[in-house]
Amino acid sequence: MAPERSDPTLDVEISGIRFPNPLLLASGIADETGLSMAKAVERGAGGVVTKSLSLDLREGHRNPVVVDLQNGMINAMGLPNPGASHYIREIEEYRRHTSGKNPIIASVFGSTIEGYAECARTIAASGVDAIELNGSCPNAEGLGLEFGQDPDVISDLIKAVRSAVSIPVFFKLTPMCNDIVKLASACQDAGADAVVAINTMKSMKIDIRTGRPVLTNRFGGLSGPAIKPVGVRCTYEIASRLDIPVISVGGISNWEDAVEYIMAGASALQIGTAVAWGNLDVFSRIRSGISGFMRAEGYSSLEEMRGIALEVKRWRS
Amino acid sequence: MEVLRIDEIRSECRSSSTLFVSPDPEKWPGFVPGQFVMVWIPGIDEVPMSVSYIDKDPFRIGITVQGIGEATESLRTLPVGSRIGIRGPYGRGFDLSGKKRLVGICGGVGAASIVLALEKAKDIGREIVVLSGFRSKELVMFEDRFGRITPDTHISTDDGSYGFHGLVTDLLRKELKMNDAELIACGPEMMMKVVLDIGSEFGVHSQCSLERYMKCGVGVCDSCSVSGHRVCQDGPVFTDEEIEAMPEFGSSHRDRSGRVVSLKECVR
Ligand SMILES: Cc1cc2nc3c(=O)[nH]c(=O)nc-3n(C[C@H](O)[C@H](O)[C@H](O)COP(=O)(O)OP(=O)(O)OC[C@H]3O[C@@H](n4cnc5c(N)ncnc54)[C@H](O)[C@@H]3O)c2cc1C
Ligand SMILES: Cc1cc2nc3c(=O)[nH]c(=O)nc-3n(C[C@H](O)[C@H](O)[C@H](O)COP(=O)(O)O)c2cc1C
Ligand code: FES
Repeated sequence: MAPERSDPTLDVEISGIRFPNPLLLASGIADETGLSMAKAVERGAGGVVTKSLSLDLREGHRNPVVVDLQNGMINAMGLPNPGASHYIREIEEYRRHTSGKNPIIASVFGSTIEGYAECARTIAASGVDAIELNGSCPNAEGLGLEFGQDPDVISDLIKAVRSAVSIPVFFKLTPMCNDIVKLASACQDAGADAVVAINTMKSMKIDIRTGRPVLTNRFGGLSGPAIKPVGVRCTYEIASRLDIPVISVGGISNWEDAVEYIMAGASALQIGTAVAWGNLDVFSRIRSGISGFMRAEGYSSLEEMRGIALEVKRWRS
Repeated sequence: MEVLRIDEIRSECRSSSTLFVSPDPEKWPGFVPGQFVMVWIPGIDEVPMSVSYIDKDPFRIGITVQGIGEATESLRTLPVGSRIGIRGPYGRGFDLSGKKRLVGICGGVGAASIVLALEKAKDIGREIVVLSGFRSKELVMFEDRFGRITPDTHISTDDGSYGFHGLVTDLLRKELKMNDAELIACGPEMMMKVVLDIGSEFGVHSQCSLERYMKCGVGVCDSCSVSGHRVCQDGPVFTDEEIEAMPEFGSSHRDRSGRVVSLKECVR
C-alpha cells in the first residue's frame, strides 16, 4: 500500500548518510552487542551509535556505576569496551541482522590524538557509516573530556581523524564549557560533518545515611530529563550561529521533547536514558508521536519544522 | 536507592543467609516473584539479588545471599543494624497465571526466587511440585517453606548425603508426563539447559531465570546482554521460546569489558 499523500516523511540525511527516521540509539546505551543494536532498530530506531571504543580493552569502573534519580541518572560506567578490533564482530553481527537501511556510527575515544585516529581507522575498516568522536565523557579521567574543552585540541583531533578515515566524522560536545558555539565552531572549521550535543554533565550523589559518595568513581555524568533544557539551549545556540548539522541528545523521553529539539535546530536525535524507563519501545512511541504532531499541525517534512524557533518570522500563532 | 538497616539475619544453610530490610512499600505494589534488586554494600560493590521473602505486615523483604566471592561474603557476614542500599524491584518476574500443574525446579541458591514464586502460586490455587537440588546436605535450604507449600517436595543432593542421590534434573525426568505441567526454573545455566531439553521432550513449557554480569540493572549499559536480550530489563525470567532463540544461552557470556567469554571459563 502506498503511503497517503499527507503522511509526513521522517527520513533525514546527514552528510550523505540517510536515516529512515531521526531517532538514533545514543552511545553507551544498549549497544554492547551487535544483536542488541539490531534489536533497537527492530523496535523503531533509525540508526545506532556504538558504545565508545578504544584501542585497548577496558573493564570500566567497579559497581556501583549508576545512580537512578527521579528525573535523571548519574552514570560512571568508565567507558568499558572490549577494544575496537574485538568489537568488529559486533558490527558484523549488526549488519547480518539489519536490512542495510539503518546506519551504524562508531563512537571512539583515546588517550592521545594518535590513539583516537588509530582507533577510528581500526573500526572504520569494519564498514561503519560514520565516526563519532567522544570528546566529552566526564567519568573517565584523561579520556574524552580532556579532548573536548579546548578549540585548538578539538581542531587537531578532528584533522587527525579526518586524515585517518574517509567516512564522515562527527564530534560529540560537552555542555561543560563557557561557550559551546566556540567548540562547535572549531569542529566546523576543522571539517567535521556534524556535531553531537550533548554528553552528560559531571555530577555526584552522596548518601546522607552513610555520608559516602555512592558511585565508586565518586563522580559520574548526569543524563535524562534533568539535562534536557541544557541540551535544547546548546542545540539552539549552535544552530543559530553555525551551518554544521546538530545531532541532539539529552533527556529525550517523549515526542514533545523530540519536537522541541527539532524546532531548536536539530537534524537528528539520539536517545539514551529513556531506554531505562520506557524500554526500547520509546523509539516507535516517539516516532509515531512526531508523525501525529506533524499531521495535526500540517508539517509535511522534518525540514519544515527544523529550527523554526530560531527565526521570528517562522513562529506560528 | 534506599539505604536501609538490616533488621534481621537468618542463616539458611552453611553457605547462605537471608537479610531482611524494610523498604518503603510504595515502590513494591507491582512486585512479581522472580524480580530482583541491586544491593549496595557500601565501600565494596553493588550486586543483583533475587527477592526471597515478602512479609506483608509489617512490610519487609528478604534476600538470600550465598557467599561465593568478595561482595557476597561481606554481605552475608554483615551484622544486624548495618546499612545496605536497595534499588528496585527490577526486571520481569515469573508469569504464574497458567492452569496446569506447576513444577518448580531449582539448584543451589536458585531456590531463593523459586520458593517465593511457588508460595504465590499456591495462594492463587495452583497444584505444585517442588524439585530442589543441592550439592550436599549442609547446603539444603528452604525445606520447611517448600514443605508448607506442598508435600510433593523432593530434595536431591549431588553426593547423596540427603534426599535423592543424583541431579535434580534426574528427578524431573521421573516427574513429568507428556503435556501435563509447566516448569519454572532457577539455578546454574547448565542445569537450566537440561531442564529446557527435558521440557521440550515432554511438550512442557518452561520459564527460566537467567544470570549475567549486571552493572546498571535498568537496561542501559547492556553488560547483562544475552543474544541481544538484556537480562535486567527483558528478564531475568525468559520463556523457553525466547531462550531457544538465544545462541549464547548455555554457551557464552560477556566479561566486564563486553568481550565474549565461554561459559566454561566462568567462575561457577
Ligand atoms: C538476576 C540475578 C539474581 C541473583 N540472585 C541471587 C540471590 O538471590 N542470591 C545469591 O546469592 N546470588 C544471586 N545472584 C548472583 C550474585 O549476584 C553473584 O553471586 C554475586 O554478584 C557475586 O559477587 P561476588 O563479589 O561475591 O563474587 P565474585 O567473586 O566477584 O564473582 C563470582 C561470580 O559472580 C558473578 N558476579 C559478580 N558480580 C556480579 C554482578 N554485578 N552481576 C552478576 N553477576 C556477578 C561473577 O561473574 C562470577 O561468576 C543473582 C544474580 C542475578 C543476575
Ligand atoms: C549508562 C550510560 C552510558 C553512556 N556511555 C556513553 C559512551 O560510552 N559514550 C558517549 O559518548 N556517551 C555515553 N553516554 C552519554 C549518552 O550517549 C548521552 O549523551 C547522554 O546520556 C544524554 O542523553 P540521554 O539523556 O538521552 O541519556 C552514556 C550515558 C549513559 C546513561
Ligand atoms: S545491567 Fe545494564 S543493561 Fe542490564
